[in-house]
Amino acid sequence: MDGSRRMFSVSRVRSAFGAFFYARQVPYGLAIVRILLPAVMLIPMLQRWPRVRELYSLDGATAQLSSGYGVGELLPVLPGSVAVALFSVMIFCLFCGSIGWYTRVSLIVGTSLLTYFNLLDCVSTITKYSCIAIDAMLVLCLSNCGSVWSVDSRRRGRVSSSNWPGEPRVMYPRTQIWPTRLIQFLIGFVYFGSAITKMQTSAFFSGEQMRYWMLSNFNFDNPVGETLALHPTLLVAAAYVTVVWEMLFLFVVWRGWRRIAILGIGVFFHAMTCLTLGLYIFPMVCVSVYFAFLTEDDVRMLSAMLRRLKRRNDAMRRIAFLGRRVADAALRLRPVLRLPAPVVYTVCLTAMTVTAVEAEYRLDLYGLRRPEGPYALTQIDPARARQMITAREPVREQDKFFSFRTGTVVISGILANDRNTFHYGERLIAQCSLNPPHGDLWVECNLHDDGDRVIERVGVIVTRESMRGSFYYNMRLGLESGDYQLVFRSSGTEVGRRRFTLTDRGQGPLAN
Amino acid sequence: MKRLLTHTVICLYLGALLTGFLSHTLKFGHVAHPAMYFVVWDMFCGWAAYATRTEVIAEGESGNYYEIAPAPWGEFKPFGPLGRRQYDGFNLYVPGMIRNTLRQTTHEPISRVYVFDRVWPKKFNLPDHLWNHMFDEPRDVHEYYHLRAICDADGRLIEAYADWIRTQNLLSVADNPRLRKHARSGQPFFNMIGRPRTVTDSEPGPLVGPPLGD
Repeated sequence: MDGSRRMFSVSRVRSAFGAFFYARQVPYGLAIVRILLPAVMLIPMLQRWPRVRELYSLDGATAQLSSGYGVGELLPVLPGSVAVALFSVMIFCLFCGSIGWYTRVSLIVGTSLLTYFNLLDCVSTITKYSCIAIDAMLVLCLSNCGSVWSVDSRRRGRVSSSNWPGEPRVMYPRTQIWPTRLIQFLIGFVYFGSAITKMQTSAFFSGEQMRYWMLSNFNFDNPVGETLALHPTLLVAAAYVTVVWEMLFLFVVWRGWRRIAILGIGVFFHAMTCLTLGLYIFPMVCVSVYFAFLTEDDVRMLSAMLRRLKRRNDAMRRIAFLGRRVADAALRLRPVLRLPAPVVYTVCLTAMTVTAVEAEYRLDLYGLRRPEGPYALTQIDPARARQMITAREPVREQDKFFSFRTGTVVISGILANDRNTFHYGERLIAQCSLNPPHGDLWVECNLHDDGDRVIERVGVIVTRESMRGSFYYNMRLGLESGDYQLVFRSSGTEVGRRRFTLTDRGQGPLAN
Repeated sequence: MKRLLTHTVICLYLGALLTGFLSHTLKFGHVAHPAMYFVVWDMFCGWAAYATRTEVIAEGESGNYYEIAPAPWGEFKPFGPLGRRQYDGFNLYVPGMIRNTLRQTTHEPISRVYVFDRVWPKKFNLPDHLWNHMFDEPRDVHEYYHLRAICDADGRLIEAYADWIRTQNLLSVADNPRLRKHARSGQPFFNMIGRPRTVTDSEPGPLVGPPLGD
């Protein structure tokens, strides 16, 4: 009995495993990932093309990832022109992978070269978005992503038409979905690992880490981030929401409305990393990979929706008609050229590579072939140079502090409201934020009247591991209504000043 | 046979992802090999309250000083407005950049190359309207210069020091007479509380890549 039950459960597990990894679907999702991911990776790689000689060749300064891991330089570094040629091959292959022309070969060559060039430059090329892209493209190399929406699929005439209502117009071959599952797991693991990183970074949950990242100017412009950096309570709330979402992703993204919700939050999250941290390529890579969650049913539904829209909308109908005319015209090119496709592919690849090598040679990055010869080093003021060499300054007291704020509400240890008007009976909370690293500090927050006379002195020890110091003042009746100042001093030096007004709500202090 | 191959691919791929996740979580083997970089997801793991920029100048035999970075042909800006050298947080690859600049330019014989940290608090990166909203005081930026390394004309390291932030950390720890006394009595030959004098004193771990996402 037990044995048969066990066999039953084992067979159920095997059947569930089979259904999960080996069900057959048209790989629409993978096809979109294939179209988008190489195209997105082309953006940073094209940006680096004029610098191939400097970043990836013997004529420049490579920065192999393996050196950082203490295992020496594992990869061969090639002469400048060879590196340019290979880089151009990579760009061609990524483009062909994206449009699905000799998809598998293009993706294999493109991904291999992309990995090689990323490994050669860990300072200005490889980042975690490259890793996500390379990991996903590795799976694309093994998949049949080129069987849908590709030059290959049109060329091989695999598509068949269907005019049944509710069915897509063209029918593509169904393939096993395990490559889709692997990419889905990849993005799930990325988020789960990322959540673990955040949990291991204590300053993430106090908002400090994100605040300083938003002010780092390491990435592109991020005006929203700079504004958000001044609202640490929002950052704390966002930190918890992010971690919960990242941890849940892997478990709830698989089906139903939760899939839509969790992916929707993901799109919002990545849009916010763009606005708050100035990241562009990272969100594009992640959102491209999200299309792996697109199922055949989704496409069927969207296709039907679009067809309905087309029937009702004249402009849509015209656009669709134009699109089909262009596609048909492109397909008619083949018989006109009368060349076998592999020959065309090879000729294009060779022509592009040779052109790129020649163009890079004429670009003359180092100016070696200029009439005036190579560049000369720029001289700098010797006095300034000596000042830099001999500089040994202690940190100024005011530089140890990030901000001084006053308010009445503390959430999660952080002052949540900025106020400079207070009423009798309220408790004023003054809080200073510190820039680590700092030593143990004696910080005073002294109450001065409008004429800068000291009314009260309060001091606390802020230990080296503390990020904040808080001071509490009760707005008692002994104080006259009017303007006051809070003067922050550290080690006897004034480091900041905040003005505030004490009012009596128009009624006057009647009782204590 | 094909099914077996597929099983193997699935197991290997998921196994690699799981290995990366576990080693990162448990901090075990996560820097064992460069391949781990592709399966460990530690984006935005570090941060600092001070903005740091790397400056490189060379001293000629005549006593004149020259700018090495940015190079005369311009600097590649990979992820934003900053040049490439700014993303080498551990200055591991700066010697290579020095060597390349000196190799591709005309100059007098160079005796030494100095690598500096230029540091200021990040609060000064706030745009004017936010600064005025946040602070009553005028913006008074002061930049600190800190010698990181001295190299020869071939980019070879002669001396290396801890970065400015780690130095401040060490100084704040060392600012304790009792601790200094115990350290002196416990370590008769080397003073470990002082500034590290060699690169080997650096914190172990992967000295790789920009600590950034994009």
